[in-house]
Amino acid sequence: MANPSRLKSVERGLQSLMVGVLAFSALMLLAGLATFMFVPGHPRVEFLMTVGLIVLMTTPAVRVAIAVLGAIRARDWLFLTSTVAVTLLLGLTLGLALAGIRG
Amino acid sequence: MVMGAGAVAGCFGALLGIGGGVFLVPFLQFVVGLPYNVARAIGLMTVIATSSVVSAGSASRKLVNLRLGMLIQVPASASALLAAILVVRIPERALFIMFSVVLAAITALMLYRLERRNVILDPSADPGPLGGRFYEEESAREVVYRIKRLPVSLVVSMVAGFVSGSLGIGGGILQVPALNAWCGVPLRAAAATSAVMIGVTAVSSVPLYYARGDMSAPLAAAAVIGVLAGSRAGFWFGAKARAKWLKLIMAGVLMFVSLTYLMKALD
Repeated sequence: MANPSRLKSVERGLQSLMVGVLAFSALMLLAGLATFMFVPGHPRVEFLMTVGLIVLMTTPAVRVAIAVLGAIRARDWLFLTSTVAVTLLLGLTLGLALAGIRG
Repeated sequence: MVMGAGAVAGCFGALLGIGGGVFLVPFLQFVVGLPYNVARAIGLMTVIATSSVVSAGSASRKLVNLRLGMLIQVPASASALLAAILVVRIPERALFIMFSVVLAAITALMLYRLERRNVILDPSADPGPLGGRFYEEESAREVVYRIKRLPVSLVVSMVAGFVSGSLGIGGGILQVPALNAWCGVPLRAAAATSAVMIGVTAVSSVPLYYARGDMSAPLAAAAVIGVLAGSRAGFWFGAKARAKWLKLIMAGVLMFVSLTYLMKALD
């Protein structure tokens, strides 16, 4: 049976993690963009922006992963089923991207 | 210019729970002159940025219905992934016309049900397995809502996911009006839930576009930074605005975007 209070406590913990990840991504993107604008041709430009974009892409996935843990903790089986299904779909997307599927 | 456009997109996106792509993609394509595939990839990154800001904020937490959101996310993510795989085979004109027609239909529905409110003012009412409760400033009390027509929300989410993956937007522009008009979700709860889930929808397709080389890192970085700044303001305004005015703003945005894509398709 679902336990809403346990679900809510997991949500509160998630907020700090999301803020940290988002701040790191923003910092990398800002650093990359500033370097691109003021030091064009700098070898680190692409790296900084790529890291920032990839970290940003992970934030929704982190949210889903935390939701899976929250569902397990709350013993909410409907919620767990849907979060695991979404996780598998995201894993499939990543796998296809890495395999270089072009469609 | 791209950063400024991102800030505006982020503000409206967070205000209406629809992500920034619906504004930014036409801007990047028709004003900046980027190829459609690049504009789409950047649009999806800004959707993720808007969604992440909402997820990280505390104001939305009580409004987000994560249980419902994850359930409707399954068809959304599946169809977004499918869209990213198939989109190279679909003519742009066909996508634009499809999107324009769907937006016009949603606008008509929103205006038809403008005065509808989905809240139950009795806080002791049972929200059911997928409903929720939150404090509503308009009523100055805790209100409850129950989910209706769940199959409709699943179908709309599937369409929204496909639209997201093929057009570079979040899909919230379809989900929010549909959840509000057909499925019994109050507008603020629909917007907050959608704002969190559109990031997951976007990340279901954007890695494929990234792998194809469609992402322009400097432009994406500028747009994302603008969105990160603008979306915080947007969500703050959304919490203060009356639901009816939010619906009118959304209807206006939907109509504008619908006409823009229709004109481009007929061009």
